[in-house]
This record gives sequence, structure tokens and C-alpha cells, in this order.
Amino acid sequence: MFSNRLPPPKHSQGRVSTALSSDRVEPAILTDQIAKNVKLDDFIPKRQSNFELSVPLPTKAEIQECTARTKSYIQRLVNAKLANSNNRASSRYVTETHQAPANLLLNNSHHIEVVSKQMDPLLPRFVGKKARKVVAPTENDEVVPVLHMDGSNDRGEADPNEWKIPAAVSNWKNPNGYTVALERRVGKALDNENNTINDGFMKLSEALENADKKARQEIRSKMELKRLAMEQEMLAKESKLKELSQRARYHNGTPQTGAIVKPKKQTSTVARLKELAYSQGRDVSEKIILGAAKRSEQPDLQYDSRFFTRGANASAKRHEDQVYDNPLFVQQDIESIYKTNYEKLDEAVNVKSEGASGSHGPIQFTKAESDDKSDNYGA
Amino acid sequence: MFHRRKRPYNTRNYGHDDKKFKSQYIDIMPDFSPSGLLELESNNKEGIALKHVEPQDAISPDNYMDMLGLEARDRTMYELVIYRKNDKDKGPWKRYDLNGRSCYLVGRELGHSLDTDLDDRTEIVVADIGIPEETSSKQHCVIQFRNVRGILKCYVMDLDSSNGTCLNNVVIPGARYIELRSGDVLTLSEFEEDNDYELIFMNV
Repeated sequence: MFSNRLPPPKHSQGRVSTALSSDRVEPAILTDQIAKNVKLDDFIPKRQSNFELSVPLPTKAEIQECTARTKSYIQRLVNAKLANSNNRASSRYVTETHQAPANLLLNNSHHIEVVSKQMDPLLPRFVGKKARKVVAPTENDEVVPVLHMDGSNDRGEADPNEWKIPAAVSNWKNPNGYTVALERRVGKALDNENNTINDGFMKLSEALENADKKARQEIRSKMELKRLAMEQEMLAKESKLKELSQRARYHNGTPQTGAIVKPKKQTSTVARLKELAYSQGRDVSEKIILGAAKRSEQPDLQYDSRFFTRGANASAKRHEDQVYDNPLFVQQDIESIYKTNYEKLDEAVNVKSEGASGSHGPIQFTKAESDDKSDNYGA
Repeated sequence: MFHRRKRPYNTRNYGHDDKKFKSQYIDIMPDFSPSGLLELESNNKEGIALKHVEPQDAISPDNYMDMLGLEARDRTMYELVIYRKNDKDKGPWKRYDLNGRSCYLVGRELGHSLDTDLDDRTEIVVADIGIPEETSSKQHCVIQFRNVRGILKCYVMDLDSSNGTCLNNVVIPGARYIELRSGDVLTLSEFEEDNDYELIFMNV
């Protein structure tokens, strides 16, 4: 409903009525507008009304203008979405001023662009966290061309003499394996004229040979002297043996011819043994059984060491708080079973005899004294 | 008591001579004395049983001095020199070096056997030191080295020989070890007229 409070319609060119009747205003506007512009030809399609009608195509300028507008619009949408996403991939221009060296031929100031990998914005968000998808490289990346070399070698055939390798130097001449220059190698035929051996080698070998000969000679002479000394000692001993045997023979042995042979006394075995053992100081053993069987070899007597341990252990105290079974130095007691401990004996003797002042040996008896005078019968 | 069992007399034997059957009653008694086979098996030389068995402390002079670690000049040499009484040149008849072994057996070595039953009269010599005397026994005496409480000592022992052994003109009792010293004279018989060889023990 049109009223005075609302603004007038934009496209209405009808007259403004002061009356409030609505029936009169509405049909007038509709009729005027429609009636003025509507024609019968307007309802017929243009191609059917005019069959030779040519449709004009847009020009290149119009197309580029439209493309630029569309592109800017889409870019704006993409930028808005990228800003909201978690992956903030954006290119930044960093301006740096360097004092570059002159040989690099650079300007004083240059721009460094830092570009990070871009994610596909159409993918869901959670995919980006798990697996990053690599986007195609940007337009700045240049395609590396594949270069092919030409088939033929420009250089001619090399001189075969330059590639010739002379014979190897033997280990006898080069024992330490030093690197030898090519011109110094023996195998090369060209340098045979200049091949000379150092005199130092000959001198060294001669010196070594002389030293070895001298050492062997010294050892041989030393052994000879030792052998001579030993021979002299043996000869001296043998001559002494001979002299002593002669002396012993004439002193103890043969009675002189013409001497009266005394009849020998018939002494008993005991008397003879006494004479041999005590008068002459000889060691005489007991009577031996002759013709006995030979003793077969048997291993050493085996005994149980626990007997000694038990004997040594008898002195150990037995009580509840005892931790160990044996004393600490139990082996010492075992080893000293058959040996006399003189220190302990001396201590015991000194303790008993209080009068003795640190003297070792038998106990000395003192004279008996009595203070009681009543025992003296003579008094 | 061994009860002799009498045979019953039969009619068949009646009237025969009794002497014919007397040999049947000879009794055979067991012999308990030792046979000597054990001794022969354990200690023999060429089938002859040796009388002497080395004691447990027997040691040779070389081994003893090796044990002490002595050098050649410090070692003692032991030697047995044998002289003949009627020798004109007065030199020793033989000399034996006693350093190599711990025991030396002295006995007879004539070159022929005294047993007339043997056809070839081959003598079996058992002794290490042979004396060519008929009065010597095959195993007369023995010279033994022993390690007595860490000291090397030399002993002589008469092996119960027939004619005995004299040490410095004194007859030594049989089967006893008697110590030998340097310069001792041994003869292999009690009687002076039977002695033709003197054995002198020397050590330097």
C-alpha cells in the first residue's frame, strides 16, 4: 500500500494524487508504466523478428578486463581462507643491506625471499597435520635443461709413449716401498746410462759384516778360555786324587816286607761296631735284610686334613654369637704342630720364675733360706 | 696228628714179601719256606737275584749336586782306585768314577765260570766293579750313596759274603751300612794272604 509516509517509488512517473483512495493510484501507475513501454513487437524473439541479425562477440580488451576482475575476486577469497587456516604459508620479502665484497659484483642492497611449502587449501585441516602434501612448484622454479655432449672427441689420439709405464721397482731395491719418480725407475731404458748405486749401501753392508765377524770371534775366544779353565781345574783335581790315593795306600795298606805279621785278635761284632761307630766316628746303620723284594713305587701317603683342623679347632669357643666355624689363621696351627715354639717356652719359664730377669735357658736353683729361728736346733 | 691208615690184608696178598709195599707209606709234608721267586722277579740281573735293594734316600752325587746348584769347580769328585799289591810300576790297576750312579756292586769277574758243570764256562758278571779273584763272591759288597738329613754320605755294606770285607784292616760286620771316608782302604777278604787287590775310596 502506498502512503505519504513512505518515499515515492523510484521508477514511477505518475501524478501524485492528494486523494487517499488507493484504487485510483495503483491502477494508474501500473497502467502508465506498462502501457508506455510495452509494444507488440517486444513479445516476439529478436532472431524470429530479424533473421539476419548478427550477434557481436566481445573484444580481447573486454575479455582481459573480465579475467582480471574474476582473478582478483578469487584471490581475495583464497587469501581470506588461507589466513584462517593453521598453516600460515606466505611469502615474505626481507630487505637486507650488506657490505658485499667488491669481487662479487653485487649491489649494496638486495632482497631475499623466504618461501615455505604451501599446502592444498581445499584439503581438510586434520590431514595437514599427519601428512603434508607437496604442492606443485611455483612459477619461479626454472626447468633444468638436459645437456648432451657431442659424440666425437676433439683431441686426437694421445701419444702412446706418454702412457707407457715402466717395469715395477723390485722390493730388493726399494724395501720400504717409497714412491720412486718415473725417471729414476730401473726399468726405463732411457735412463740406463744415468743409473748409479749409492756407495752408502756398500759401506753399510761391509760395516755390518765386520761387526758380526768380530762378535762371533769374541764369543768363540770366550768359550775357549772357559773350556781351558775347566780343563785345568779337572786336571788339578785328578792329580790331587792320585796323590791322596797313593798316600792313603802306603799309610793304611800294605805291611812292609820283612815285618813280623802279628796274629789278628778275634773280636766280636759288638766290639767292632763300637770301634767303627764311636772311635772312628762313622755312621753305622742297623742290620739290613738282604735278598728282599724291591719296593714298588707308590704315591705319597694321603691323609685327611680335617683331623688337624679338628685338633686346632678344639680351642675355639662355642657360643651363640659365633659367626665362623674356624679361627681366622687356622692353617698356622696346622703347620706348626710338629715344630717347637721356643718363644712360648721362654715366656712360660719367665712367668713362672719371677726372680729371673730376662734370661733364657734352664732354671737356676737358689739357696734355701728360712726366717724362722725356732727351726735351728743348735741355737 | 697224621694217622696212618692200615690197609686190610687180602687173600691175594697173603704170603707175599712185605718190602714191596713199604714205599707206599712215605708221607709228603708241605714246605713253607719262601721260594724266592718274588725277590727274583722284582730285583734281578740276567736271571740272578740281587741281594741288595737300594734304600729310599739313595741319590747319586751328580743329582745331589745338581739339586744344590753347584758349579763345576765346587763339585766333589768321588773315585774308587784299585791297586795291585805286587805291581812293580806302583800305578793304579783301575780307576772307577763314582759320580754317575747311586749304587755300585763289587764282585767277582774272572772271565770264566767257577762252575765245572757248564760246558762253555761262560761267566755271568753281576757286579759293576769286577775283581778278578776267586776268593771274591759274585755279590761281595756294595758302595751306596745316601742323602742323610740333607748331607750326601757314602756307605759300604758287606752282602754276607763268604770271605768277608775289611775296612782299613778291620773286618766289618755283614749287612750293615758303614760310612766311608776319603782315603779308606777296602779289601775283599779277611785273610791278608788272599788279598791281591786294594780298593781305595777317594773324594776331593
